[in-house]
Amino acid sequence: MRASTGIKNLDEIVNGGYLERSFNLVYGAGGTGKTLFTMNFLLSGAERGEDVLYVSLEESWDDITHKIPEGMRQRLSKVKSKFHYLDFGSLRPILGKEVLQAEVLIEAITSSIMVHRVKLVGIDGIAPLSMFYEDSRRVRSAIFDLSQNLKSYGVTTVFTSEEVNGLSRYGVEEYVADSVIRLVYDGRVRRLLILKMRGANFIGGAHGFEILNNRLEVYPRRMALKAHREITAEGLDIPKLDVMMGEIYGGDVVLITGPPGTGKSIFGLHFIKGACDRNDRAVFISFESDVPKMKRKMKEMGGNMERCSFFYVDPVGIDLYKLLWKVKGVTENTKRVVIQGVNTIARNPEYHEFIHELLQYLKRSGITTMITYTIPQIISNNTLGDDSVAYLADDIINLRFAEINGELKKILVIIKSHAPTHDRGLIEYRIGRRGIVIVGRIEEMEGVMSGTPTRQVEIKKRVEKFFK
Amino acid sequence: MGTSDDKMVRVPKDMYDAIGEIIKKYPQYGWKGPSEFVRDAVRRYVDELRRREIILKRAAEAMPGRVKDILSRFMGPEEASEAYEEIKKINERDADKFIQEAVKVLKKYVGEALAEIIARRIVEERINEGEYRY
Repeated sequence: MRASTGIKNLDEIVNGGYLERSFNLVYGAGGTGKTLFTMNFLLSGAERGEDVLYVSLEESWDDITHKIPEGMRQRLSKVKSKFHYLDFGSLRPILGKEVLQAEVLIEAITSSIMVHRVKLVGIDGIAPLSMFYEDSRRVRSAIFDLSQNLKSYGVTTVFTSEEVNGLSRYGVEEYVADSVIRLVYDGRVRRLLILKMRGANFIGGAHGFEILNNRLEVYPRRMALKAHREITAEGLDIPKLDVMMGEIYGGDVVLITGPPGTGKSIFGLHFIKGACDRNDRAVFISFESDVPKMKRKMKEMGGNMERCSFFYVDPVGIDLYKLLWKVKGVTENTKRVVIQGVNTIARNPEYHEFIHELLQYLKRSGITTMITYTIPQIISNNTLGDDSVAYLADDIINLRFAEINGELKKILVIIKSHAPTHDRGLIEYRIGRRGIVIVGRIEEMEGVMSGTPTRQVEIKKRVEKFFK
Repeated sequence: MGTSDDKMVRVPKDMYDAIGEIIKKYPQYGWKGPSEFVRDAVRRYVDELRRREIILKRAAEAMPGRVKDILSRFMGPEEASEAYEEIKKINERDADKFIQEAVKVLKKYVGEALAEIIARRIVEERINEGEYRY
């Protein structure tokens, strides 16, 4: 049997929660959320009808209840009769440091466990133990005694410790504990690392962690993969281009790369418009454009707005694991997704893992995805921008400009497609009021990819003239 | 000087000799002989016992209220009130025994070690109050 950590997503990546009758460490620097983690663990237990006990060794109960977010305070008020506490933080100034000896703590905690039939215990902040035990070996022994006693009473305990040089304060808590979770906050994003979890195959590494008003959230860096869906035929829903492209299947990833102004977003709008017009759900997630602008354009193109959802994600200071799970949430029962401008987050150190996990998830869910990636060079670029996406892309279309007859024309090249017979030509297109219009193949031109093509006939004439 | 109502008390010879040595060593205290030393010592000891009795009596009187106050902060007002009511019900006139009974009640709530620390603290507070008239 396992005891919930109080966070659904965390339970899922640790086989359902903590082992029952276990002693579990949560450590981290100040402000990483240790107290809230403990509170949330106990609140969830109390909400399930279990009696729980919060033991504060450092801060007073008054301070703690004033500091927790309003939403958590409200949860606490609803389960007051199940939520018991022992406030050593305010007892210490009255009775002295004697109250911090292991014998006193153990007796007080176990008395409360027996009186209230407590199932879950949270011991917050073991740092003050060093006030009584100046020798760190004696602190270790005290923690060990505490763990053994609490286990013998059949309770599941979470205890917190301060982080010192990457380790817990006394460096022994990890060995005594059945599980170890480290919390990290760099001032921008929060991370939760599972370092040890007895009796569970857990997903290691840094997971997203967020403190909300009434609860805590964990955004695992990996998602449970779904079974592959049945293969269905799909398309880009751009007249003529679908024929040139050949087959696209449900769950495919289509990468559209190109410099600014080539209409990558319009390709995206076509893509979701096609799904929405058939009454399927589609989602447009943008790191670049503001949502009203995209909606207006979609209306101009005559799209069915009821089935389409638009989301703007600010790429600055974003938590990619949180975004991963947000995308999962908004793409439930969705046929197509457009992710516009992933290049804006490409410098995030977690980007590679994020995009891999996201695209794998969408593929397995049978959601056809279009990714747009902006390349900074206007003319004559030779890259697809990003190998993190390219290796997962089933279909790749490269958009570019070419100077033809004194005009900067838009050209697309199908770099990759499932269909062996896809068009290998250079295709001119333009953007009209109702979206992309395919003009046709560029014939009798050479060097289009360089951006400054010349006519094949012209070259022939020059060669003939030379030999004459 | 003694009177006809005075009674004799025996002390072992070693003790008698030790008293003599103390009198010689501390002439500033003005003991005129072993009898006066013993009378002074007994008076002081009886004073001490009475003082202790008063402190314990005051501690016993303060016990329910202080326990309620301390437990209220420690574990919340409901359990503090329960403990308060239980201690109030203790029917014991002897202060020492009353405190022992109160510790038994406290033990149920906070364990033996902490119960004794709390009781000791309440007694210490009474000592620190000063002035004991009887």
